[in-house]
Amino acid sequence: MKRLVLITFLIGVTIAMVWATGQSETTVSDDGVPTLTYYRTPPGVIATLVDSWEEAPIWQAYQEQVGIDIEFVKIPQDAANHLSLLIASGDYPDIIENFWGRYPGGAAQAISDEVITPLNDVFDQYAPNLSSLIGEMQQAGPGNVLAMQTGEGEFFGFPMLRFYDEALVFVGPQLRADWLENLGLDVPETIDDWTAVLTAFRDEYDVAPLSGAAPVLNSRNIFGESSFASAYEVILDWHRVGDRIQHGFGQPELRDFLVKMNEWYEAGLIDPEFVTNDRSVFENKVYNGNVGAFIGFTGSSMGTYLNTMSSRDPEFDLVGAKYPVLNRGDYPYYGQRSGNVVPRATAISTQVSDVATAARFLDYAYGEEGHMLVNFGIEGVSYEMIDGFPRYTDLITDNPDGLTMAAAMGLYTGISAGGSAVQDGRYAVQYLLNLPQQADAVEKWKQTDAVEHLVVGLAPAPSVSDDFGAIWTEVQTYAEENILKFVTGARSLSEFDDYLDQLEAMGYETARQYMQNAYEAMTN
Amino acid sequence: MLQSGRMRRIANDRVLYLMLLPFFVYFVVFHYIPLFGNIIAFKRYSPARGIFESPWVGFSYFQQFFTSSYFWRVLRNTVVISLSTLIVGFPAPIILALMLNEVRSTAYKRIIQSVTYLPHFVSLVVVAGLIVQFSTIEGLFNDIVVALGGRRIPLLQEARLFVPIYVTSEVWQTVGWGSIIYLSALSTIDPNLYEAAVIDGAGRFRQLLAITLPSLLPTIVVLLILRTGRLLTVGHEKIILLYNPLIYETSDVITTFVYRKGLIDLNWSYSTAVGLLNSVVNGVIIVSMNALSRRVSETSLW
Repeated sequence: MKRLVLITFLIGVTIAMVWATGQSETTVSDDGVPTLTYYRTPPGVIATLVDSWEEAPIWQAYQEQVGIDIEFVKIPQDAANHLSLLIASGDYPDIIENFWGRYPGGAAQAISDEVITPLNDVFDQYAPNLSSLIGEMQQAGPGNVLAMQTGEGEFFGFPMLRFYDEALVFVGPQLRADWLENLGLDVPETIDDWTAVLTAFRDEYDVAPLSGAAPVLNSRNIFGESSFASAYEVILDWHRVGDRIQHGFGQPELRDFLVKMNEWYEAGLIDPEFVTNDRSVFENKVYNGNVGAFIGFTGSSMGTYLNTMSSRDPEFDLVGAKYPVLNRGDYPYYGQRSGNVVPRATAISTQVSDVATAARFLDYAYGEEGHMLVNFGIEGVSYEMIDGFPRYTDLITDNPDGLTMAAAMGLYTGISAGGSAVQDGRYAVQYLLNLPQQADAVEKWKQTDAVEHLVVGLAPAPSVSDDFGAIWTEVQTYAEENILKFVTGARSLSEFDDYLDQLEAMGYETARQYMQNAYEAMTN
Repeated sequence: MLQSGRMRRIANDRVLYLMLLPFFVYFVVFHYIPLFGNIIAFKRYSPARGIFESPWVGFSYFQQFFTSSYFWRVLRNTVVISLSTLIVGFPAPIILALMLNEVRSTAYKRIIQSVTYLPHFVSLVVVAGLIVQFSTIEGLFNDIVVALGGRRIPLLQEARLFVPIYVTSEVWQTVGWGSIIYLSALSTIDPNLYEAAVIDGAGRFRQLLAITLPSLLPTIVVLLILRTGRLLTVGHEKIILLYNPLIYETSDVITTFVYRKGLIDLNWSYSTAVGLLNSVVNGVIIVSMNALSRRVSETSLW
C-alpha cells in the first residue's frame, strides 16, 4: 500500500514538473511599442551569416520605420517539421510565414483548425495598401485573387506577388555552349535536335551528357518542370487542358515520352545516376565537365556555375534552350512559370493579441516606402536612385566582405528571401539577369503556353482532403517508381497499359475528380 | 510486520533509491506519459485542436494500412531486411569476441577493438554518405567490382543489391560495439575451468566448445530475445538516406512508409496507427520468444 502511495507520489511530482516547464511566459512590451512574434524561415544563405533575422539590417530598418518591435522565432536549421511541431504544441507566434497549401487539408483546414485567422475583414479595416492592390488585381481578372483565397473565398495570408516575366520564369533547359560551338551545332529546338546534340556530346566528350539531381521530380532533374515531357503534351503535375484538370501520371501520352527517354537511357545519353545524384554530386559532375545538358535555375544554377567556372575553366559557357517541341516551329506546350501569387504567405495566428497591429506591420510592405525598403533596402546604403532607377550599390553587387549577391541581398533587402510584399521587376533584372546568358535564357524560356495549363492554388476541398491524401500518396509512390523503371528499362514499356490500369485501381480517377470539383468550385 | 520491514529497508537504502529516482523520472516522462499519445491513432488528429478535441475515427487508419496496395510489400521488405540482419549480424559480434579472446598480443587486440568500434561513433548521416559515394559508378565499390572483372553499375539503383548492401554495412557499423558485451562476459569465466580442461588434455577448440560457448550462452539468449523484440523495426533513418524510388521494391519498409505518411504528408494519426500496430506485434514476438526460451534453455528475460 505504502509502495503504491510512493509511486503515485513520484508520478505526480514528475507530471507536475513537466507541466510547469511546459507553461510559457508571455511577452510584455516595456516601452509602449507594440511587440509581435514573427515566424519566418531564413534561407540557408542567411542562416549561416546571422543567428536570427533580428541582426539583418533590413529588419532593423523595417521595425524602426513601422514603429513595431519584432521578435523572430528561433528556427533551428534543417528543421523541416519545426512549424508542424510548433503548431502541434498549441502555442503559436503572432504572424507566421508558410506555404499554407502544405498544411494538411490546406489553408482552409488551418482556418477551421483555428490556427490562423481569416483576413477578409482585416484587409478591409487595417490593410489599406494591400486592399487597394487587390482591387486593382480584381479588375485585371479573378485568377490571382482566387489564388490568394481558400475555396470558400477567405483570404488566409499576406501574399508575395510578382508581376514581371523576369521574376516569373527562372528554370529551363541549359547546355554547354562551348561544347556546341566546338562541334558546330545549334542550340536544339526539337526532340530530334536534342537526340543529335546529346549523341554528339556523348561521342565527343565520352560522357552520358544529360544529367540532373535527385529527387527525381524536382526542378533540377531531367524530369524537371516537365521539360522534355511537355514536348509530348505531358505535364507531370496537376494542370488544366481546357476545363479538364488532369495529372501527367495518368495521361496515355506519357507512354510516348517514356519510350523516348528509355531510348536515350539505353543509348547512354542520360546519366544513369540521375536518380541518385544529390545536388553536390551533380554539381561536381558539372564542374568536372561530365555534364553537357541539364535543367536548372537562372540564378542558382546558371549564375553559380558560370561564376564558379570563370576562374577554373575560361572556356566553360552555358546557353539556355527553349522548352523542346516535337516538330520544328511548334510553340512550346509548357514550361516553368510561377504564378503572380507565390504560394507562400504570412498569416495572422489566432493567438495574436492585437490584429490591427499585426495587419499594420504586414501592410506596410505594400505601400510606397515599404515597397522600396523590402526590394532595395536603404537608399544611399544598399541602392542609389540613378535616373529614376534604383541601382544596387557595391555593397550588394560586389560586397567588400566577400558575400555573394544572394547573401548580401538577404541581409540588406527582404525580398530575395521571400516575404510578403510585391517583388519589383527592377530587382529581378539586376539580380537574376545579371549575366547576358541569363537574360538570353529567360527570354527563351518565357516562350511557352504554360499560362494555359497552370492553376495556382488548386487544392481538394477540406471535406475530401483525407480521402484524396490516402489515394494520392499511393498513386504518387507507384507512378514515380514505375516512371523510373520504364526509363531505365527495369520494367518493359509493353506493360504500360498495366501501369495505367493499376493507377486506375488505386483511385487515380477519384482523385482527379476531387481536383476537377475543386477547380470548378474555384472558377464559379 | 512485513510492510514496516520493507519501509525500514527503503529507509536504510534511501541513497540508493535517490540515485534511482532520475531513471524512474526518465522512464515515466519519456516512455510512459507519451503512451497516452497513441490515442491519436483512433482520431483524426489536428494539432490545433489537440489530442482531446480531435474527432474519433475508430479503426479507419488501421483499415487504410491493411488495404493499402503497399501493405504486403512493406511487410515483406521489413521481415526480409530484419531477418537477414539478424542472421548475419547477430553472430558476427560473437565470432569477433571469440576471436579477440584467443589473441594473445594485447597491443594487437586493442588496435583491432578500437578499429572495429570506430564506425559506431560515426554519425549515421556520414555513414550513409560514405555508402552512397562508394556505390556510385565512379565509386570505390565499383573499382573493386572492376578489379574482380565486373562491369560498373550504379549499385544503389539495383533493387536486388539493396539488402546485401544494407546488411553488410550494418554489420560493419555494429560488430565492434556489439562485441563489447560478449568480451565482458568472457572475462567473467573462471580461469580454473580452462586450467582443468588443459590438464584433461583439451585443445583450444575443445575449450571453446566445452567452456567458452556454454558460459556465453545466457548472454547470447538474452540478447537474442531482446533483438527479436525489434523484428518489425528496421531503422528508417539509414534506409531513407540510402533508398530511391527505383529500389522501393526491396527497400521500402514499414518505418519508411510511416515516415512518408506522417512527416511528409503530415498524417500523424495514420503514422501512429501503424507505429502502434508495429509495437503490438513486436510485443507479441518478444513475449512468445521469452516463453519459448524459458522452456527450451531455462534462460529468460523474466
